[in-house]
Amino acid sequence: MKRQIPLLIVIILGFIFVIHVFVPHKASADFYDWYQTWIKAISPFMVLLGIMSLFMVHSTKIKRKVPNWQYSVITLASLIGTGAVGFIWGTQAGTPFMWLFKNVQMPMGATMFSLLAFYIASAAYKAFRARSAEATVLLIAAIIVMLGQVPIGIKISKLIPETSNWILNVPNLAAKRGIAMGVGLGMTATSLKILLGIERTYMGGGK
Amino acid sequence: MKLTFARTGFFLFLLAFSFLLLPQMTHAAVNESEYIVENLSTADIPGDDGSGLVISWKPLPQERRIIEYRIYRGITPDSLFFIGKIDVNVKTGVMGDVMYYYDTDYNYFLDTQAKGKLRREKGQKKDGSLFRRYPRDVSIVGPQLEHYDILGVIPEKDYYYHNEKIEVVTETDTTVYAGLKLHEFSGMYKKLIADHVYYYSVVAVSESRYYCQHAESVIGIPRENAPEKTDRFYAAFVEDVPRLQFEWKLAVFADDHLDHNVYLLHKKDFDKFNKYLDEKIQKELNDIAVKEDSTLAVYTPKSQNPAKLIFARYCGYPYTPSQTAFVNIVEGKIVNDNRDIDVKIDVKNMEDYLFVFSFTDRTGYETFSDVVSANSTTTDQLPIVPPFMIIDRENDKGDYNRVMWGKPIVYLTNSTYLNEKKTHLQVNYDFKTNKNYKVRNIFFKVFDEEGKEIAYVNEYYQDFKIKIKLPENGNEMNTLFFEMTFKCNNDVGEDYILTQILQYDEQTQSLAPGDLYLEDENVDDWEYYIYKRNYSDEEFRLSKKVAGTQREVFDNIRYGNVHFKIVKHFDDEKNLFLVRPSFSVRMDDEKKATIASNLYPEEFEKTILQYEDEIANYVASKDTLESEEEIKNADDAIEYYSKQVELMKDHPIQKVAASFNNPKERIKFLDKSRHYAKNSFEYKIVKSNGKGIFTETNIYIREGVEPVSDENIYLTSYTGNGIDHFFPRSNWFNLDMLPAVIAALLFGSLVFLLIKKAKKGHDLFIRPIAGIQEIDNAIGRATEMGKPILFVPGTSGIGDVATLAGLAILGKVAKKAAEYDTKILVPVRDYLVLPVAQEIVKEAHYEAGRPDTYDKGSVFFITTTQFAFVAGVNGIMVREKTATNFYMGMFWAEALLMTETGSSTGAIQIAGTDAVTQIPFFITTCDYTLIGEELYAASAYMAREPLQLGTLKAVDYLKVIILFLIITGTILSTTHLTFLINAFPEK
Amino acid sequence: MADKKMNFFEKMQALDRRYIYLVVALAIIIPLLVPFNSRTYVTEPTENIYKKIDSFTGRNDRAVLLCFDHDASTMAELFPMEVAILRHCFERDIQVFTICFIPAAKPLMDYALQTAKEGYEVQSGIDYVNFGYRPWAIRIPIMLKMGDDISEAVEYDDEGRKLTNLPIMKEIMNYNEMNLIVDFAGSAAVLSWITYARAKFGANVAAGVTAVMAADNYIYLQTGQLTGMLGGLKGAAEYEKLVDVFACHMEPDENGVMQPAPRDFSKEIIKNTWIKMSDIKNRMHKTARIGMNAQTVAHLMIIVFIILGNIGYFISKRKKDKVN
Repeated sequence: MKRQIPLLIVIILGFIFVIHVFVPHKASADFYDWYQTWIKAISPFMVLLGIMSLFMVHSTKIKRKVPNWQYSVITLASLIGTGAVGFIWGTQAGTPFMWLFKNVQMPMGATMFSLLAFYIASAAYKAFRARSAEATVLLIAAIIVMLGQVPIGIKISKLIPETSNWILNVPNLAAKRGIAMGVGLGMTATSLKILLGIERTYMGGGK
Repeated sequence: MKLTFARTGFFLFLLAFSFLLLPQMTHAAVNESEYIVENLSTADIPGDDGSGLVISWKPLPQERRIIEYRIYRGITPDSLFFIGKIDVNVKTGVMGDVMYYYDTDYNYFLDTQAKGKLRREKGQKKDGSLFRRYPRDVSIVGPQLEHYDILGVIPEKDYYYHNEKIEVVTETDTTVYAGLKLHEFSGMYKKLIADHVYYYSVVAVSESRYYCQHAESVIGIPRENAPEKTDRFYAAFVEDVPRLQFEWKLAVFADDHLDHNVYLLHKKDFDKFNKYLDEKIQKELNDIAVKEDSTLAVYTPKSQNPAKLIFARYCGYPYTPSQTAFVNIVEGKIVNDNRDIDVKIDVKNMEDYLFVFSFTDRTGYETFSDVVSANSTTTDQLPIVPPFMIIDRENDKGDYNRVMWGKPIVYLTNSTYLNEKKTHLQVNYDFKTNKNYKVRNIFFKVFDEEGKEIAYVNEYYQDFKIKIKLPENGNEMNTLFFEMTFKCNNDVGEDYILTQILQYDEQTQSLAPGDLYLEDENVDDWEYYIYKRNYSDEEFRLSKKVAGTQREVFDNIRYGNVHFKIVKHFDDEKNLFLVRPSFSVRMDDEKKATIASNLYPEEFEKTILQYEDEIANYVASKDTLESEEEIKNADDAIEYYSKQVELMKDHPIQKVAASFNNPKERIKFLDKSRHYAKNSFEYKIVKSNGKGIFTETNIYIREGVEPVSDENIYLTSYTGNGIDHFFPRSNWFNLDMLPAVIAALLFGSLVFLLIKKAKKGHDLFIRPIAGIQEIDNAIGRATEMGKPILFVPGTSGIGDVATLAGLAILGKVAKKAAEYDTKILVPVRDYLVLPVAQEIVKEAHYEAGRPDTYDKGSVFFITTTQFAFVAGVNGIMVREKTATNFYMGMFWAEALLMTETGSSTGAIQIAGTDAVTQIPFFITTCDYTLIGEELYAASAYMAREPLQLGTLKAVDYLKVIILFLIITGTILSTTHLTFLINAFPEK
Repeated sequence: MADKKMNFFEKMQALDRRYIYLVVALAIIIPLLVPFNSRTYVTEPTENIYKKIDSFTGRNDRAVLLCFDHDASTMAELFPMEVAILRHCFERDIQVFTICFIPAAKPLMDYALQTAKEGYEVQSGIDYVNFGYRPWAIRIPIMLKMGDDISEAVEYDDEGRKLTNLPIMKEIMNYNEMNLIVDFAGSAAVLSWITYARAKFGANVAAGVTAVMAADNYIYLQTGQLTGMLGGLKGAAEYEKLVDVFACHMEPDENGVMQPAPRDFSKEIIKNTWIKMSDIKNRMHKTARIGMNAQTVAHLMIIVFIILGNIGYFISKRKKDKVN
């Protein structure tokens, strides 16, 4: 029973939502609105779950003094501190919370994001080796596109930006669409497996 | 003190938090009086109905770093409530010298979001006069109600079924109200009352959210004004009919407009008219002056309006009324009995006349436009409106009607030379059509200046661009003439030709499209106005105004209806707001009277009795009346009440309503009836040049349709429904989705068949996927090294199918890891994924027979913030030196940041994602990557069960079918056969 | 490996990635600090926006609407284009409106106006109007309403003034006058302008997008639904160049003093013109082009690395083959 009831809920609701896609009727639209309010009601509890998990993992680490437990102290203190600041002074513009957001979170996020430039360079360096015929094509295409995006490309030859555009618009788009189609089918298959109860890992365990 | 690692961290942490106090401390040293806004004043807004005030003040200098100005209003100077704020950008400050806040119109007063209790504003002392917004507390808000016009917006269901009948007994009489709780209102909106005294104050809030002292409160009194003058009014005289046509623009504030009027003024009376206008303006100024100082003498205008009224129409608040009108001249006269109009006009000497337009408002003010003379025209110069029709828009939930007219239109939008020699030209076009004409081909014929045909294009697949080849001497090709024709599913006629030129434009150095002509008509000169009217409106209102190139309009009809009710009374014991229980259902067919009902049947009966009493009283009093006017008044009253009683007793709606014994069923019937009245519309179209040259159609009537049968009791009184009034239908199936349904069924049956086959023991071949085969080895490696495995199940939510696929793989990996007794770490970015992942890992340990090794802490939540999550995961990789990293699911820009770090720690990495943009990053940095669908196939591949393999194989077959369709479609459309492409919907 | 002495290329094969990081950092920082001259190739979509905006020069019955649909994270790419377009408008006396539908865009919008305004005597309400922030939820209703009457759709400007009272609105009614909309976004936000403002009312729509998103917009350019597009920093650089070459063109008067002499767009002029970036005094409105320099060097650096890596790969492969 412990397995069947959730499975039944999944199957019934799953099919209702499939039907919802094909039925534009008012009744169907109203049902969807109703479901949306449920989602809104459920999500706050989930936040609590996440915070509890974070708390438990890190408090255990501190208690057991596992290596690097100091980081956990910082994590927990930041969690409590930011939360408290938000609760005490609110989250409007000008509050300490927003100050933290602007001066701590945003620059840190931007820093992480800008690391991408470095990582792309090193990844490109390592990956682009003319190991085989295909790899050579990839290598040449990459160089053309890179040159096509910067002023120097046109200086070398007018053909470079044009070829770069062609590569982006034709082979690149074709491959993208091919993958997208496979993904679409894969998604449909996975959803169908869940709907039919073939795939149940998401409930824990395979059987 | 030795500086350990922990201490350093702690200090850094303290340092970061001490910055928090910085903004809090900055205002401490400043003189507070410098933070009070100056020049606070209020002013009446001109041209309105006495419900608008503008509050202005001088903003504080930028150095004060003000982040917002908060505005407070009250009816006494000692208690002002927060009503709104203006945000300021601290960095740039306010650009002007004065700031304004408009307290106009119906705007927010109260809703369920309000706080429960009244609280003083931050920074106010215990006896301070500023409060936050009105609370939900009826005992506080209730007494405020009478000082405003409060409009309650109540969803139908709440009004009908969640009310409580409340009787309010006063010395003179008893009134019955419907009591509603605040949460039954979707909102309450306030409007100021004319001549009422309000107090205002403003507080500046600094960057650190320090609430500065408030400015001394100022008084504001909104005053009733004459309507704003319209700045556009046009008159046209159609000589041969003869008829006068008028067109005007509405004023911005039109809420209190009552009538739209047009007057005829003889040129010789022009000076008199100006004098009359001057006196009118004097009168308005005097009215306001007298209100402010009652000792002033009241001014009475002396002159009469020399202009004669020739047209008047109720403008039907609160919608957008018609902005066009015409009056016919019959035998030298303009006559309208309803408005007592009977004016002589000399059609031969039209140039002797001037015309003037006016708005009148509910208090009797009238504002005139500038006078204009009529432009003469003839019927053949008026535009021709193509036949139009109304149908329900298909495949929707019943909130749109489709209005369509005319035949398709195509026009050129842009052009570009494709080569240096300027011999290849790309021309972009756009086309508009409606459901009656599905465009198959568009034919473009291009001529040069000598009229020689230089190109012909058959556009069988419309991709909004054509390419044409120009002769070698293309540089001299300054003008190109285009002739465009159609082939549609319905015949458009051979002579249906559109023409347009492409002319060389010096400015842009390219060929720019000119005006579009349909035969002789310049399409760009005209606009279509779509007017509509339902059973409960007196007048037509504008649904949409569209360009002359349009051929179709979707008229939005909102499905849900609400009740707008004035809220003046309250019941603080029961915590209720009181509104009137009577509501209108529709207007009668003559559009003369409203058919109303009441929430409480017994009250409805009472009203009838009351009216009958009134009639009896008037009849009795007639004997004692002497003056003719009094008798006429009595007759009018008798007529009015008799009509009301008749409608209340005998109208089909009332009869059906009275036949219900169950009050709930009665309300349900009235609700539905009202719904039909509000949502069924009749339509007409005006085609105009915007300056009085227009043609108005009759109301559209669908022919060859049977009237609605009597079986539907809700349509009892709407016999014309479906013929002249159109009600949008709610559809049960979206036909556009038919291909999807077919594909889904096909897929379903394929799955079924193949699962059966697999169960019978047929060996279904599946292409080997290196990434999946390597998973075992990768886990083995971690075991050998004695290091943990890291598994990131994507960074998206549980609703994403990719996450589910990732979790399915997690199940398999966790089981293997448990068997080998290797630790697995699963960081999670989504709250909902967390419990699912925990459950999966736990179950995997049970299945592997090692429940003891399951550590709940191994599946944990980090954060929802994208890059913070990356930082967390990277930290784990570096500290724990994980031997194997899995990334399975949806990823965004964070992908490379994680995998590159993983690769630098020397871990074996296996990724799987359907995010096309991230696949290249995974391929370059990971040892194995599952691309797109392979991610979805992985769990089936690893499980090797017939059920899973069957589905996997079905996907392959479906892919073959799709590929076949794509190839066939390409071949067919290349050979001008577009039926296959067209069989699939665009969206 | 038989030969213990590793040559340069083999060393490159085993290069620590941190050296690559260092080189990339330098390749980005140095060109930013020391600008060099580079030639910007102006592409068609950029040219089209420029020509369209330029055709509004000095007209009171035309205006451009700039819609800011992005936050600070994409500012590096989008901000230079916003400033460039605003400068073009201010220089050529073209009426501009600005609006945003996400709160995070509001400060960027103000900042762009402030930056572009410097050096011009333009006044809010006369030469431009900032419509301010409107909630995302009413974005589509506003788009639709603007097709009818802008002053009704937006009502008040950012300074709280009624639009109908502003001199700039005198001859501006709806999309017929406010004939071009440029949407700046790191997303597909421009689509809704195409669907509503273009399809329903025939307004011209153009986009300023990040380089990543540019590829998605090519189909709309091909169909003409987008009048033009600025793609990433490159697009911004192109527009900056056009503004400098045409709108902000200077010519010496009879005394030899440089005077502003704006000129119309011409393909012939653009081919033969380039503006020196090395003179540091004038850096102000060259952000994107200087940024493109950094991008050029970074791209070249990466290409050099790839080539070196490949040479090393071949050498070691040959050695291995020899040994075997």
